[in-house]
Amino acid sequence: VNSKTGHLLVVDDDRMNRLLLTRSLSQAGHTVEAVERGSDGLALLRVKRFDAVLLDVQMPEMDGYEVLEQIMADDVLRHVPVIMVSGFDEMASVVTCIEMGAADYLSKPFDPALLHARINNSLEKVRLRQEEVSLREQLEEKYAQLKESERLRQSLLHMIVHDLRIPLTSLLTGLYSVELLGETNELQAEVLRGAVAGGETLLSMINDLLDINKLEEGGSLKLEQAEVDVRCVLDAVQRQVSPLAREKDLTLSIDLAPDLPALPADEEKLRRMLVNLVGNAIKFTPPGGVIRVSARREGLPALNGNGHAAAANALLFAVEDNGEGIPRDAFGKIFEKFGQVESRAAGRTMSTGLGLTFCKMVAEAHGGRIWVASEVGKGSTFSFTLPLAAREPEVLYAARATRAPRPSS
Amino acid sequence: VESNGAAVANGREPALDPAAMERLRETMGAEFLPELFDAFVSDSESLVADLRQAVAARNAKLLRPAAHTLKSQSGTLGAKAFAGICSDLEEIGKRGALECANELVHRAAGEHQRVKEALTLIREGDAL
Repeated sequence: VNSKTGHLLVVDDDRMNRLLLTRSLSQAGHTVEAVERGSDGLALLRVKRFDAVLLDVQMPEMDGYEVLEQIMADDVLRHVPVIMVSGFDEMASVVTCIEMGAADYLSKPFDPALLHARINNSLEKVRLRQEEVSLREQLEEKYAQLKESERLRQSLLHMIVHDLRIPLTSLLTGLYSVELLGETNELQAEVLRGAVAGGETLLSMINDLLDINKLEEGGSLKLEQAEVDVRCVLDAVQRQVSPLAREKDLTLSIDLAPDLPALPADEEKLRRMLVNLVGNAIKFTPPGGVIRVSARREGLPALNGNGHAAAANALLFAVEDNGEGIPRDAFGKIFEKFGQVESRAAGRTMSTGLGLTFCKMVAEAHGGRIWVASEVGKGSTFSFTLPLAAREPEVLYAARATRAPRPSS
Repeated sequence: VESNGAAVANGREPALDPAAMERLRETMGAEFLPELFDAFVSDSESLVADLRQAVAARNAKLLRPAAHTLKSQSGTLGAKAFAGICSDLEEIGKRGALECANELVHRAAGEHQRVKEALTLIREGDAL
């Protein structure tokens, strides 16, 4: 028995033709049902699955066109191949049917070899379509599974990181208390400072991760804006990172312009952002290097791309090092999640690569931007701007409309 | 050729094309033919009656489908002359010009009779 056999429907008002087609198709191993009227054919099609339909064009009452039209209008039946059966002198009607969506045609009196060739052809189409449908279903299922496991991974990560913060906080609190008591000798104090700095860096990483996670879940980075004294922030940053810098024998210089105004910003996030950037600089600069942190007033380049007019005032922060530098083609990638440039230098600890993602999110949440300039072998400069105007779009717009453009110095 | 009964005297074209009949026998199987012939004999009788009635009543709507089915059935059997007349009648039905169809219907009835007789001869021949 031929493996390519199917369940076929014959719709023909001519009993002789029904007999002939049924006989011929049964001989080839197909299961055949034959009906006289178009309406009966449609009724059968709606309750049973057929692999192909042989449909007579000229029938009394409901003719082949009407049956075909109804088949094509049905979302499920549309995929069953319809082979029109017509007189050899009815080519015009065959053309119309094929335009309407019929798969093929056969003229009467039919040649059995041709009949079988056409049926096989249609069955092959059905098989291919079923394969396509099942592949697509598999793909959709796999995609749903993938999405679900990504969601699980994400919430698991969040849970773990969140739970890490609690013991770490008590650890740090303990260290701070010992530090406060001051009953330590010089060596112990040095060790303690290193432990506190390490703990704070770890806490900072955990907080970055939680913030990024929150942002990716569709929330927005919540800023707690206040008038911030940049000098105090940088002082805190220096306290936090200087043990690390000392460890690597790096010079850390802070260079602040004298006319710095108060900055409307989230102090805690700004501090973590600067710690991240300076921490990176420390990591990527060989012993004996210099890291320079600066802040000054700057005209904020227009964010909407309408020229370079200074639209509002901003503070420009820069963290400059003379370390190994970053290849140009990685400039965009490093701000992406887990996008830290692959480490080639031996012995360096790899980090999560989340720090810069966090920095980008914080800068953008404030309405500012962050970018990098670097030359391999000479060093890198990470710069970011935070606008001095409030970050609400309406306010920003109002500021633009009323303030005269100020040339950048 | 004589045994299949298709060859008929009077020097006229045989009612059934022997080659077409041979193909049917070959592809469908000889045992299937009686059932097929029965279907033709029983269905065509009323269809020929429809032809007569349609032409008498000048009813093109009745003429056209009857002529179409008869054309198709006779084509299947290889009844070329009958199929030709039915095709003409179908054409007349399409145009609605039934006035001149009397003679054609008469010839159709005659051919129909000849086809039936030829089928009977084939069945008797096969039965031997």
